[in-house]
Amino acid sequence: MSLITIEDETIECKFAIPGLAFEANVHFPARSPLEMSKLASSPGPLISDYVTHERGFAYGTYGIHVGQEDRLTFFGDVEGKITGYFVDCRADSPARRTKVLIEFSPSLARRLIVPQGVAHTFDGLEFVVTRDEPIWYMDEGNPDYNIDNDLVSVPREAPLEDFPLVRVNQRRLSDEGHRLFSRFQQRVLNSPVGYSQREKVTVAGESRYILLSHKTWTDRFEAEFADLLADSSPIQGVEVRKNAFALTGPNSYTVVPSYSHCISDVLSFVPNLHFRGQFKVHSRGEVSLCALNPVHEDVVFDLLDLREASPTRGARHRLSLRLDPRHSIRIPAGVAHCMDGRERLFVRCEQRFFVGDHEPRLDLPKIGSDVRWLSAPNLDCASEAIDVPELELPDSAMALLARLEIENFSKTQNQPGGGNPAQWRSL
Amino acid sequence: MNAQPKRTIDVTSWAAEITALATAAPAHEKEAIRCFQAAMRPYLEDPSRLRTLLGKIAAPGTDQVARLALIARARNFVSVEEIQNLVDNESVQISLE
Repeated sequence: MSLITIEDETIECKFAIPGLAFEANVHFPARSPLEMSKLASSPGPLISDYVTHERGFAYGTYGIHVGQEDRLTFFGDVEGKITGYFVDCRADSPARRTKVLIEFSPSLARRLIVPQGVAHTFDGLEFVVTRDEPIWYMDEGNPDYNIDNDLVSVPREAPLEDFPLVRVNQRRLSDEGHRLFSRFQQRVLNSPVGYSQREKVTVAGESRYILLSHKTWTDRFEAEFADLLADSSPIQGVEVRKNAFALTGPNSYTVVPSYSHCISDVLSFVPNLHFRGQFKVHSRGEVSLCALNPVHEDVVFDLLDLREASPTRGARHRLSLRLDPRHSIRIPAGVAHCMDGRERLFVRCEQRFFVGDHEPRLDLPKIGSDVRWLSAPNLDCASEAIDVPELELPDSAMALLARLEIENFSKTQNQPGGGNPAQWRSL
Repeated sequence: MNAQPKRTIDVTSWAAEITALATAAPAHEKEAIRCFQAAMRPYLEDPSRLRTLLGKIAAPGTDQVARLALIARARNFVSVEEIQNLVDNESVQISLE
């Protein structure tokens, strides 16, 4: 079995297993170290989960999803090497029990599509973060499918002939159905638990599935973060909130969306280089920021309330935070913020946008272009005061905005020469 | 079999939310939603069975779970109790699906 090496410049590529492929992401690369690069959602239901991998992380099995197509983006040290192992276990595939080995580096620019029914596992994921944008399929009467734990495990050392052949679900859930399912996940994972290993066993001649669950993965979250969650900031609306997550290792987490629209971007930046002591303020957007990669030093948030009608108008607060995938800091529209930190961050950014009841508001920037930079020495709360709008955009509008961003990106990519990078940042 | 840890997850509205989704959906989406409804039904009837609603590759297999999995795959068990006897109650829980 030969190893296929994927070069860093390769964005799109297909393999011998039908449907297994790299595809281009909606990625706005930074043009300099001072900039922030942004990874937006891919076309589809716009749901993103994030999986972190702790020191020494290693998979002991292949996994097969019967009702889920994985769309995986790997980010972390671009010098690192990841090896992916894939076996086609679809009973009706012309390539059944075909095995493919791929070596590649983390990159925001591409996503790996793993169809349902394809067994997969990886080496080299220590400290790598994986974004998964799943596509869910349903069916009835499929004995290999469990909606609470869509996994069939296969030992890594199993010979090809011992890989099971599975029937995959066929009916793609609607985009609205995806968002409802994700909201159910959010509610379940508000109380984090360990993810179970699902194994097929034979009992009295009958095939059954069992779940093996770690009881020793005690999550210390509540004790570690009690003070942090209880007393985030005196500025109204600024808070550190617990994420919804499952433990997929003793110190590895699968983090699901926080908002009902399920949409998020990934921002990559070094706080000191990007902010350089200046404040950024959104007039219409609340942001929720969660650092996904390991961070070894506190990041300092310098916050200033510029909201005209806020009870804490003019308040300034410095919050020193050890960022962690298990929590997010929520910063309301109209609260300016400056971040101070030396490490590169990969940040999940979730947003809510607000409009006024008398639009267009000529005193406010347009949605998606509502970031302003303010220089700290010149900050005058009175002159910079913002009358923030209060009507929250519904989930359908958020989805429309995300789709428009994807469409605009695709149009500029199709221009000769790939288009002007400045045009990519349309929203 | 050992019971899964009990968590209080309020699923009171979930059936109605799925029904509303099905009602609003165009014809070509209804069948998938109906299957979604069927897949969720056992968990809405017994919410204590809900754990994650996720599809992920299994946890690192370097501890007792890995050993148990190896044993579980290799044997034909006579009964459910035989599986239960494999359990070290301190670190691992086995539940039958």
